[in-house]
Amino acid sequence: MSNKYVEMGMRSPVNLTWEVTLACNLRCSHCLSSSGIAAHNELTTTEALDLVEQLHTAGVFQVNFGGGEPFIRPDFEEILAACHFHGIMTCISTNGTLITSDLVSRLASNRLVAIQVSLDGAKRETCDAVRGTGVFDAAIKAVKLLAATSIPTSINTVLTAQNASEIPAMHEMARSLGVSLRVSRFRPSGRGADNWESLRPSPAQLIAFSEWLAASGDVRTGDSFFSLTTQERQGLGLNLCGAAKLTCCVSPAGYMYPCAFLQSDRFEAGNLRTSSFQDIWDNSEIYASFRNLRIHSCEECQRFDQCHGGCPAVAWHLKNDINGGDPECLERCVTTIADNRLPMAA
Amino acid sequence: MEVENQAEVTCSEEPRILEEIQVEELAIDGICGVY
Amino acid sequence: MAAAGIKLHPSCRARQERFGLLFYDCRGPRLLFAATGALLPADFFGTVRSRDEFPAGTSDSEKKALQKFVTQLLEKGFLREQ
Repeated sequence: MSNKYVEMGMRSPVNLTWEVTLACNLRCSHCLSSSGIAAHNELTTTEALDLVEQLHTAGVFQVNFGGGEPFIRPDFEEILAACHFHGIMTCISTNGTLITSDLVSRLASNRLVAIQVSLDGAKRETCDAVRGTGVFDAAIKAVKLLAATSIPTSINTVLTAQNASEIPAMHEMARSLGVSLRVSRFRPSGRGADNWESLRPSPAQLIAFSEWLAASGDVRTGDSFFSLTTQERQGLGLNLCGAAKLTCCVSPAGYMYPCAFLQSDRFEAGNLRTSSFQDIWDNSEIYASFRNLRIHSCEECQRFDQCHGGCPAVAWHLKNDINGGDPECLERCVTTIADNRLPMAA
Repeated sequence: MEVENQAEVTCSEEPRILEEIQVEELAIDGICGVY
Repeated sequence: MAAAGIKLHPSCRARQERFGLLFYDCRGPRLLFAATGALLPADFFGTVRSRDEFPAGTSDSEKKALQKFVTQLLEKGFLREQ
């Protein structure tokens, strides 16, 4: 896969992550945005609807809604409807606790929406330890309501040290519920940074997951695990970071970033209150730097063509170096384990 | 010389002979959505 | 009965890029980059077309290439007959 056309630069993102609110009724310990209370300057309904118009004009194919909990925002269905009116496909990432049968009926009335419900363990106690008491049951109830409709539904699991051994069971659970499984990579941003050491999967767990993933072609990863991609999954997803090339992130207050895991001043590409979406996409220096990003330190690696240096966000959070190469790529996991074994072998 | 398969958007004096439209597929898997 | 024509699949979208058309299929999801240059407008397959219908001014060689391209798009599921 050459990425030739991606490297040429896109007129606009293929999709984007839009965190419509920071408000959330949960306080998950791995939350990438430290969600809880709404930001004081979140986009108004008028501003949000104007953004949808801009996304339509720009030709964005899909919007992935996150937060916070998107359904907390009172005008969220209005924003969704505006996207669908323009034929923009949508995917909503929700904790599932606010999903009701009435809401599901309304969502099912169009064919442009997909929903992923967050669930972080096959066991109630594993999931609730991260997401809060009672969340497992509420999320399962939501998945069942959604699975009974035509809405493409998935369970979205963040791989952690605690649930790594339960991933195959989650796959089976998703299958039995009639939905798909998506496993997302845990990154040290937001509250995830505060709880990084306790939640991060070990190199051995990452390698085991990579091997399991290789044999589980129907499991989605949101292109978040390309740094662990084995030969078997080549061709199922990206082999490079898509930030600022194929995707970007809009924050609740209308700031634009390369991705949801790099929402800080250092990576601010622009603000939709002062510039247009297209202007920011076309002219942001931050976006230009991501499009030109080459992880030279990884170029000699035998796996370079498979991950191109991995996730810059993880490199930034763990090494304060956007060019530093992904510290948790498959090659480094293997090396770490080998290095740890050396003293024992000696 | 390699046959040019790609559609040319620049003008030329000779009539353009287009052999084939070059296409490339790229599987994506969501492109780093959130959780 | 023969199909009346071809149209973009409801799960697919297309837009203009510098190299030509970019197709998106949300079922994959997957992208298809097509170096059509300026031969086809992005909304061309938004309405039902016959398989040999192309914009005015398309040369014979371009038509031939576009016909092959349409066949590819049908095979890959970005277009469908209806």
